Amino acid sequence: MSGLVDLIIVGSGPSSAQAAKAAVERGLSVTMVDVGFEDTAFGQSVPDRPFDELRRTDPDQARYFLGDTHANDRHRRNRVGSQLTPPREFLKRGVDELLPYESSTFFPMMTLALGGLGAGWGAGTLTFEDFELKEAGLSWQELEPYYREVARDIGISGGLDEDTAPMVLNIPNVQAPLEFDSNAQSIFSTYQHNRARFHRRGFFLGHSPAAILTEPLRRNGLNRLPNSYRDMDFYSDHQRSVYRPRFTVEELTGHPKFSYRKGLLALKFAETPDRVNLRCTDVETGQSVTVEGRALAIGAGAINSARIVLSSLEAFDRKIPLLSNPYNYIACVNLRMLGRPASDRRHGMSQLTGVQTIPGQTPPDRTILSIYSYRSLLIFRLAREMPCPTFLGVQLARLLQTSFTIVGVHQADRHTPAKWLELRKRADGREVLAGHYEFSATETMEYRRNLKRVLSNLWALRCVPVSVLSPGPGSSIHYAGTLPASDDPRVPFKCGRNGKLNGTERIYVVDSSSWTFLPAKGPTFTQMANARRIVAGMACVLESR
Amino acid sequence: MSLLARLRPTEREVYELAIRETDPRLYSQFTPIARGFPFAVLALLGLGLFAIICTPFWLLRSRR
Repeated sequence: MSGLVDLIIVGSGPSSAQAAKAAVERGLSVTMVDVGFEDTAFGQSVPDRPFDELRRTDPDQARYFLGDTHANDRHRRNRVGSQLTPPREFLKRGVDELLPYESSTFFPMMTLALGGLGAGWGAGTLTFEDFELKEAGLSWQELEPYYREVARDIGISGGLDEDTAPMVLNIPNVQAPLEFDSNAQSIFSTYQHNRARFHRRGFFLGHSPAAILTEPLRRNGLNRLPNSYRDMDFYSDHQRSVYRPRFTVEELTGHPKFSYRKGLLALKFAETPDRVNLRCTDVETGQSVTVEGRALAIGAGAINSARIVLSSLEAFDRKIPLLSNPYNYIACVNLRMLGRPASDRRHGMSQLTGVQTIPGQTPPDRTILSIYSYRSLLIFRLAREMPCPTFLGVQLARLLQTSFTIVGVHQADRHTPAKWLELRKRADGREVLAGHYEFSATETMEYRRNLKRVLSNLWALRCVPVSVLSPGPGSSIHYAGTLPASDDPRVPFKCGRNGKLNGTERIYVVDSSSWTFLPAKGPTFTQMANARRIVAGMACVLESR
Repeated sequence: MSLLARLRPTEREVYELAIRETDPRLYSQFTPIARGFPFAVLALLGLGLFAIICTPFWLLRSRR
């Protein structure tokens, strides 16, 4: 592809990949600029066999279950990113060096990997409701067709006739839901037996909507197979059942209108009357490279998109807002599975999604529960948390393993002055992003109250909470709201409803940076739909020029 | 350091445990124990009691 491209896209994460796909489908020429680190240590070396079979037979399993450098900081407790399995560790490569960041209160996970954070994503695809979209600066009417487009493109499974569907999967024609494992089946049957009681308490439970196939997805050389329930989803992408944004990048590669510029870190943009220049650095050679296009779509994630904008506008020491879902996880023992055997046929992702509402509350904030069965992460991780000698810890973990349940709890987040990012310039000229995140007393009280409601409903599900862990701000890995939408186009560091950065003509932000509210639901599906919406509008503008 | 933190295994012990767990010859030592609800409750109570009795000795050992 030669000459001036229509659109430069920064990043290869879920938003950027969908933006690129939408742009190419609309006939625009696209250059994707991305560092694009890939997994070089493990690759296809993780055997394509079920978890239990590998555990029983493979003498080399320590390599991919533990990694080569087990004793490093990966396994320190409660650190963002410590949950990554060795084959997903490449997500952290180069981050400290290339994306300098400092904070004592907010610890986000950032990545330079091909596919962005989507390379390690839990694949949850929850739709936002109209009231949530409105508060976020979007609308259901505008976004709904793009939710459908994304669902068709990436393949989504979920239960459309379940209690949770109107709240978390409000689109038709998705694939059948994934099968529950033994633990999830027992939790769901407890819920169904007492359904009316749970509804009175504002609690709903159903299959987790997920970008995981239950039917094959084949088109133009793309061949993705249904999940084979081998419980290796945290370790490998065999059979491509779980969607990863790199599949979209690979699908586009070879298209005459698409080029992928790997190894480039986007630094600053500059506009001229007829084009955008994007200055990048080659991460291997350190050389400066400029990419030119008619428009720029930044999809580097809310934090790094903000970094590029602040750096380009030389806005140092200027505070911009930040959103991130408060996150806790609760370790539970499902009494109905205690001492019972569990089937080996299972997948590793979230089995159930719970929605906790407050009956009569306006606006009706949701608290979202993702319920996982603890199997494929090995029991040494459980034993290390037990306050007893390891030989006792192992026996306790073996007794609890089939009933052990992890519940991730996400809550909604709104802007306050105590949550911000700013770009600082050091004396040596180095730019460092700084973050701060603190809850107000009212927020803390509200979050605790919501958590209490969740704990009470877990008891009612016969899941006994044994520990509530708070990994701290940033650990939800859901970030948004750094360049929030505004109806006034004169306000700097904000975006228009069309995703265009105020004060610019050709710069668009296609990730969650422009949201004014972050619902408790995983934002990835909505980010992808919104990226498609922004590109559709941008394509019309480019055509008219 | 809190009492609970002192009682938890050290990183070294966790590492050795992880290595043993990923040895397929020791697979049976790490499989779930599923002998029914009453057995699980009794075993948990027994192990819990044993852990409490062990605690002072474990703490002394950890201090070394």
